[in-house]
Amino acid sequence: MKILLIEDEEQLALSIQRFLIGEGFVCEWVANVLDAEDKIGVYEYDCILVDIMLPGGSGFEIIEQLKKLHSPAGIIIISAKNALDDKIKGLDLGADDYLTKPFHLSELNSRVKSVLRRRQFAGNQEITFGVLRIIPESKEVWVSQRNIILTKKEYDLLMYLVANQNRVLTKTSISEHLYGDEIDQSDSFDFLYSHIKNLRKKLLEAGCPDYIQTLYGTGYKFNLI
Amino acid sequence: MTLINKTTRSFLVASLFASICGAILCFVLLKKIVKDEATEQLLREKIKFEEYIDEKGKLPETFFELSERVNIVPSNQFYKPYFSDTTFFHKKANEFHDYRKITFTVKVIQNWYKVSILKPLFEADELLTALLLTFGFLILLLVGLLFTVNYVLSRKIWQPFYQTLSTLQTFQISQRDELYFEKTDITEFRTLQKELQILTEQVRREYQSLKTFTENASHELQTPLAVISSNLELLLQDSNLTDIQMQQISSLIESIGKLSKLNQTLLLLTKIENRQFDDRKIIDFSELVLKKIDLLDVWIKHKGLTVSKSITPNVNLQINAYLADVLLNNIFGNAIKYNILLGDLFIELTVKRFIIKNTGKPLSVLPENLFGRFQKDSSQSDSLGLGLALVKQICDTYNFKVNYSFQENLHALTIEF
Repeated sequence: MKILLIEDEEQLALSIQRFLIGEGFVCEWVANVLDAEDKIGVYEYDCILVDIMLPGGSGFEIIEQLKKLHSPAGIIIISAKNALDDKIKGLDLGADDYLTKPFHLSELNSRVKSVLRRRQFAGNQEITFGVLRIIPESKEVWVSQRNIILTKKEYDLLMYLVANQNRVLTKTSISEHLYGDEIDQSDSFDFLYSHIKNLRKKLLEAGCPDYIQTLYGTGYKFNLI
Repeated sequence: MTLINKTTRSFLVASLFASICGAILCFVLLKKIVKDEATEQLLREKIKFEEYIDEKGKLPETFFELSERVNIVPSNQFYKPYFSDTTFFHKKANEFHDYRKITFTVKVIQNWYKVSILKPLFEADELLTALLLTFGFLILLLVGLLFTVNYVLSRKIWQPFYQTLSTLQTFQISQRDELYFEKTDITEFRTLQKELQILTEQVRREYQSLKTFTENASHELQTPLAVISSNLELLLQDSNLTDIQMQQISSLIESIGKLSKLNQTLLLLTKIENRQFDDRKIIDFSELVLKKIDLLDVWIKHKGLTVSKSITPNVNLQINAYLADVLLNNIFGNAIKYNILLGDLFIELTVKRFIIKNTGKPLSVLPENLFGRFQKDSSQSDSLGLGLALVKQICDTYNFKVNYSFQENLHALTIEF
């Protein structure tokens, strides 16, 4: 999977690039509109992460260019501008998602994977993890041959954990992913505990090993034992 | 009181004063002239009278050619001639008449006679009436003229002023174009327009640069925060970390998250203050409240709260959609967050007001102080202290009245539309 990162802030770009390479992606980075246009004119990418405020122009120009080229790449806008107008404009132009800086890398990871899934397999795909089988299109979860019923939040939680498998996930990142800004952080942690507890219980009851590892004071890690 | 009325009133008072003074002066002067004239005539008649006696050596028999009233009585001594004023009742006219009287003595063949000649004066009250009528008419004429002149003035001379005023009233700090005043040839108004132009232009520019600054500050601050947090996240994935190190890093990530949220909230406050959320539309507030309660249902259930709601349907507010959302998030967020486990939540919405009451711990600060920035109850250390400041700012923007009270273990937030 090839990802193009268009971001003018070098420090941020490097950390994103390192993270995505760590996730097994091929990630190229350019810092301005001109270089970006050169790249998309020559190579094909699966996903493009684009900042809005760039030297030499705006990220919107790149999105327009991509649409003109009928590129199949998924587009995620990453911007510090939390302006509603920008978000609407970006999505109208054909971007798949909009992420406001600062964001958690695990959140970016989950969004990238979701965009890629939607783009490339039109959602018709299975994710397997150990004995766990997830069908995103129908939101079904199977443990071996047993179907388990999850609530929407539990399903979202599981998807987030699977997308960020083998990584340390902070409580903050998970609770922001699940509850957004609506629920205050101190309360959302309580909330998260009970959701994790319920999910773990359902998985264990279906005969799934306990993949959710609790890291005291930090968060969780989803990995094969 | 308008400018025209004010000047007209001053002119009126002044002209009334002048007219009254004029009338009094006129009255006094006229009286004096008439009196002097009468005195002169009487003196002439005295001379005539004496000449007659000198010539004929006897008293005149008829006095018609001399004066209306002559009175001659024998006297035994000589008087120096003197003048006096007398009043007689006139039977025919049934009124008093003023007379000027000269009294002197003449000698006709060894005999002294005292002669008094009377001369009628103009009647004072008639004079007064005439004067009052004249001056009354004059005042009326003046007032009429004043109004006409002022009306014409207001139409012509003051017209540019009123135009400038109405142009100024359309001025909005956020407008894109310069303010344009219609040209006038009156120097004072031209100066006024020039100064206003400079002033509004300055205000507009300042506002524009503040707006740009707000946007840029947000961008510039969020980027380093993003760098810190993403690097910390990368660091957290290092497999050689001890549990303690991991906890330290995640607590750093949490703090960065708070910092970023604080920055965003402060920016939001500034943006609302700068009226950057000008677009408003009619929003079904009742529906929005119900949706919000629905959305927060998990949180409410989690705390085991009992919700009692009385919501009038179709309460429409003209408000920015985003701000309405922020408002409700903060109000409900507070009411749930600071609620006690298994507490109560009362929600009431009518056409006139929106009230949220919740159980909770007593406040350690005065309720009215809660609306200030960074004002928070000391027991809530993890709160930013900006939630109610946001609520207040939004309410102020739409001229809603907001009030916080704590009574009988119930926190109540009331917004009056």
